[in-house]
This record gives sequence, C-alpha cells and structure tokens, in this order.
Amino acid sequence: MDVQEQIAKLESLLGRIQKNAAKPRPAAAAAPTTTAASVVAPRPAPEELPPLSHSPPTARVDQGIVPMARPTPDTGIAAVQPEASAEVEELDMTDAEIVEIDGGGGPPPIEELDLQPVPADEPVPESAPRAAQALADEADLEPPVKTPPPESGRQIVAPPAPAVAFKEEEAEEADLTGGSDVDDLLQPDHSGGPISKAPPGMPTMEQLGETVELEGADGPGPALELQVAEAVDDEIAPDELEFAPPKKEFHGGYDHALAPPASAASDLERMREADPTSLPAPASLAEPGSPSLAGMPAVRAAIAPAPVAAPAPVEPTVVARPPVDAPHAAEVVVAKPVKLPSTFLEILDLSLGL
Amino acid sequence: MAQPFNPTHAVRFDVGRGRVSVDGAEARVLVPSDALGHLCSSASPEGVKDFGRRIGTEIGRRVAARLDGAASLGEVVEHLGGDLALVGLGSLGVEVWGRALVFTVTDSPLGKDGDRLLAAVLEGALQRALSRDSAVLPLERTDGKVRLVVVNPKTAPRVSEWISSGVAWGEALTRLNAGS
Repeated sequence: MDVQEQIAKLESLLGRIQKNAAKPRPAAAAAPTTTAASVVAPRPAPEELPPLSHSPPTARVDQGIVPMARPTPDTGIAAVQPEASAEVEELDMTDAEIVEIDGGGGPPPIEELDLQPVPADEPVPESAPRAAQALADEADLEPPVKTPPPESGRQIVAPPAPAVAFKEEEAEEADLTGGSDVDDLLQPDHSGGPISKAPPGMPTMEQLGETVELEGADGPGPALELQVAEAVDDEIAPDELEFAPPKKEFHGGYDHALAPPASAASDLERMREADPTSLPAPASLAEPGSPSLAGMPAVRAAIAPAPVAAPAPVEPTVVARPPVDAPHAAEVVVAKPVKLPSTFLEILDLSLGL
Repeated sequence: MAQPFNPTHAVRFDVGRGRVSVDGAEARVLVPSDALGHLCSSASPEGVKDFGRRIGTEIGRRVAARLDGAASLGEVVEHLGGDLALVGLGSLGVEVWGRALVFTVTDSPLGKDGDRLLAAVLEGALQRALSRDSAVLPLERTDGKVRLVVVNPKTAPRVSEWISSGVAWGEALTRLNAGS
C-alpha cells in the first residue's frame, strides 16, 4: 500500500467521522443527568462492534460504566457518584480500514494501548524508567563515572538522543572490543535506556563483569597444527660386512653386460688344440660380437631334440565278469537256542550219553 | 526245595573216647594227606579206585538224605561239595561244556597223586546219591585245580586214550560233544 492509498483512506475515514458527528444524538445519551437521590437505571450493555472477517474485535469502547452503589447513612438509598464518563464516538470502521501509520514519534499501535487508568497511589518500582521531566529535578546529581552494577538502584535515565546514543553504542563497542577511548566511557548516560544494554547476540555487562584483555585477542584465532608423521626410511643403511640379498623381483640370472675375461679366448684355443674332440665353447664364453654358436649347423644339429614318435593309441582289453544268476547270495544260519537242563540229573544223563 | 548245606556240628570229636565222627556216622581217622597220597601212588589203580568209591558212597549217602532227583545243579554242587569239604579233599565246582559235565576240585591236599582217588570218590557219590553208573576221568590239572569229566563208562577208555596220547582237554571235550 503506497502513501496515496493511505491518504485516501484517511480522508474517507475523516469524512465519515464528521458525518456521524452531525447526526442527532439521543437525549439520554446526549445529556445524562444525575442527581443525588435519583436512581439511575442501568444502561444498556455496551455495544460491541460485530467482528468482521472472522477476526476478533480490534477495539471496544464502553459508553458508560455503572459504578457500584454504596449505601449512605442518611437516606439508606444508594448514592451514585457522578461518573466522569467520557463521551466517546463510536467509530464506524472495519478491520480493513484500520490504517497503520508509521511515524517515528507517533502513538503506539492499538494493541499496545492501555485503556485502564493507572492508580495514582500505586508505588512506582525503582527499576521503572522515569520520564524526562523527572530528570530535571535530579539534574544536579552527578552521574556515575562508570556503569554501576544493577544492584546500585535507580540511575539517571535521559531521553534518547541520537548523538548520545551513538556515542553510547560506540562506548559499548569500544568496551567490548577493548578500545581505549576512555573519555567516551566517562560521559553521563542520557540515553534513557536500560543500564546494561547489549546488542542482540552479545553478552550484557552483568555477564561480562570486569573484562580482562588478553594479549593477541585482536589477532586471528588459534589454528590447529596437524603433526604430520615424518616419512620413515624403510631402507636401513647396510653394514659394511652385510650382504644385501637380491630383491624379490630378482628371478635369477647374471649380468648380461658381464664380459668374459681377456684370457678366455686364448684359453679356449689352447684347450681345442689339446683336445680336438671337445665341444665348441659355449656362447657365454664367446667374445662379445662373435657370431652365435646356435647359428652353426653342427651345433644346431647337436642341440636339436631327437624326434620322438607319438605313441599309437592303445585300446585296453576289458574283461567283464559274467553275470551271476544268484539273487540270494547271503544266507543266515540262525543258531538254535540251547535249552539248558534244569536239574543236575538231566545234566548228568546228557554227559553219560556221550 | 532242599535246605541249604549246614555243616554245624557236622564233625564231632570225642576226645575221651578218641573218636571222630561226621553226622554221628561211622568213625573217621584223621591221617596226614601226604601219607595218604603216598599210599595212593603206591597202590594199584583198582585198589585206589575201590578205596575212593567207598569214600564216595558214604558222601553220596549223606547227599541223598538231603537231595532228591529234582535237585538243581547248584544244590548238588552245594551239598556234594560241602560233604567233600568235610572230608578234606578240596573245594568242588561244576563246569558244563556243551553236553559234557566237568567237575573241578581246587586245593586238593593230595595233589596230582590224589586225582585218581578224587575221581573214584565222585564216582561213588554219584552212584550212591543219584543211582547213575558213571566214569570220572581226570582231564588236566593247572595251579591246584583239577578238571574231571563225567562220561559213560563205555566211553571212558577212548577218552583216556586221547588224554594219554597228548590230546588237549579242550579237544577231547570237542570230540566228546561231536560224538566221534
């Protein structure tokens, strides 16, 4: 809703209020007369604005309040104190026509209105903020140098001033951040706000107490240092007399770059002259660069495997057992039960029968 | 059922008269066993057999007084063995090998020399007690125990031949049971 629409609604509301004010009012409601001896009939129940759009009423205005009768000793008739009933215009407005006007120092919203009169005799709590008028009486009081603890009682509360409030926030920030602007901290508190005011999300002065500045607080936060294990050298320095066995990737063999001794050729020639039937020197003893002995026909024929004739497949001779025409191969001989004689005479007769 | 063997006051010693008796019967003579054994070994077989049969007849008479023909094997062993023990010839037992009846006498004081005497005593007892003519032949002796087989008197010479020829007593019993 922009400003133009709000202005238009306000103008329409003002017009309806003026229109309702020009209407004639009922006599009873227009001039409520009260006497000391008259009994005023109870007024009708206060009208309530019907709720619209299924929402609770935003305001209710009582036209009059019937006070409780208190008997008088003279007449015995209940005397009615004249009521200072305020004539309140009944606003003909709906929820939809309620306009919220944002003004810096404007009235509070309707929900925050306190229509109940505050009793004059009720004592004001010490911690309640006081109005700026009361500050004038205490102007001669010297404000505390430092912010007192909350148990020190009432302190001077000044109406908020933009510049002062700004300085106060600055001072708080300086105090929290460890600033050194002591003059700002010594200024009296004229902001009117609570003594220990801390920005949201920050601890209050009561929680902080006497802050001790730590060295390096402004610096970057501590960083975790991960201790990395140093790479351990798996290979231990071998001893002078220690023999290093071949690695597991070593599969045996000899160094191909190993050259035969210089006297190998002469020794071989001498051996050939001594024994003509000796075999030619192996390739490993040949001089580097000499033709391979495997290429010689005689050597190739000597080292060639002899051809082996593949064995012809032999059919085994199977001798099968002839079938036996005897289905009942097992025979069980049941032992006949031996009947022992019961008397000695029978046993004796059996023995004499042998 | 026969009464159990009760040897109470069976042997009576009349010291005044110098008389020993068993069950009030004829007088007995207590002689050393080795002397009796020497006598048996020096006597003829027929004389030993007759001497033993007389002893066995007296034992059979007492057994027959307590048992009848329906006596069981255990009862016969109890009473016959009891009277044999009163005489002092050892402890009697019975083995049945198939159809063969075998008496066993343990701890006989006469030893091997008295086996023929024992056999004659048992023959006389069986004759007197059960009225059966039988032949009792020694089979073998081991560790103070002698086995004596009860056979028909007609079969006795053959079994004696087996034993004298060296046939084992088990084989002899097998041959007896086989009827060979």
